Amino acid sequence: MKTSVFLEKLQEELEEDQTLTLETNLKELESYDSISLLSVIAFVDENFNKKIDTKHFKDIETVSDLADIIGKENFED
Amino acid sequence: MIKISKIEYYLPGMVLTNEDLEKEFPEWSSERIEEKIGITQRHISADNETVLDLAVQSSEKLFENYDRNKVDFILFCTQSPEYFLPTTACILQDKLGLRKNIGAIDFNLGCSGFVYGLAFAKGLIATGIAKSVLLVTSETYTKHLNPKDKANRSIFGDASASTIIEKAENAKGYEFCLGTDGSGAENLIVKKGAFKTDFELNPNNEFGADDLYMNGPEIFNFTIENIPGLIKETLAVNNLTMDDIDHFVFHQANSFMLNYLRKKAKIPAEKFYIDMAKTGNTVSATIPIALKNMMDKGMLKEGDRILMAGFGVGYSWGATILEI
Repeated sequence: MKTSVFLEKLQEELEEDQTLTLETNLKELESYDSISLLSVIAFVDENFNKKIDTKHFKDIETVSDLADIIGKENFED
Repeated sequence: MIKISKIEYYLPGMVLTNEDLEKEFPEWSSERIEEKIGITQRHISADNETVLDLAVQSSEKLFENYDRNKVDFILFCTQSPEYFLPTTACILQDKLGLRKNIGAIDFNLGCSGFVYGLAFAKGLIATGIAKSVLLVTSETYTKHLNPKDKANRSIFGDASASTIIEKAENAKGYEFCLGTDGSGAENLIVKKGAFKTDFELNPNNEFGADDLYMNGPEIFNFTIENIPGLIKETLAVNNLTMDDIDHFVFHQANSFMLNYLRKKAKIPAEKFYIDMAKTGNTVSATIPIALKNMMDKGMLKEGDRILMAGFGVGYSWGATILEI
């Protein structure tokens, strides 16, 4: 997936008004709470067919951290 | 083989709305709770009101139109029983004035409990041990919750459902698919209160060992991994396809999870019933409450096939098909 598409889709999934970049800190987003974790899990399963080990959630701060957990091989650019 | 002859349910009087939660937790938005998890209110048992009280209410409602002397087995599913001993089902026999020459047992399951109850009932009826089984799924999870646990207080509500399962000569005997994976035990648990004392508290549990702890994201992972396959398997062992099923009724966990599982299992939205806005997640009572509401709304026609699936704490899961 292209990183730009990933950012757009993630923003939509999180129902976030702010445009996301790789540097965006997810934990600082107003809409990011325990319910958002379910959205992230669904998003990664649907688009990457991958399971996120929930132990990783405490280490996911930025969008880039999330992309690392999904795996660089899943991004085209 | 078997049929569900009757369902009644009872909800305790106290109601907790999203607005009430928002008042207590200003960072929580009532709209967001409703939009994401599909719940607007839940019923909460009073301090002196237990699963037995709820079970008496739902069962007495049922006996307004069903002869209680027919019941020859009580199956009582709960994870908030009256005592360690005796069995809550035994006390219920007395409270309801049921016959004494009948069987009564409790079983400890959560969200998979209704489907397991149907499986036990089928076994009892098929072997001639019972003819009319009273399955009670009564739960007061809210008693296990820490008052500061806004996430779980948003999800869970208390309720009791009473279901009569009887022998039906003409009904087709559908197969069950059951599953268990105890490696997930720590992800939905109340640690303290029984006899194990040398436990460690999960580092993510911000509340105490007395309180219910749920790792919601991990439970979601478990359902994504297992439930679409469970539906496929249940159709396959019954030699049916998606088209042969009129309604899919899943355990009403929360609407976000249900919608995702529906999509993943490729179930058409119009066949998929979601009904938890006014009651929340009532654990083993959600499926019979949904079925009863469907009956009352006239959504079920004679001969309709319903695929039911329950899943959760344990981990434990199960599915089967019934005809109306």
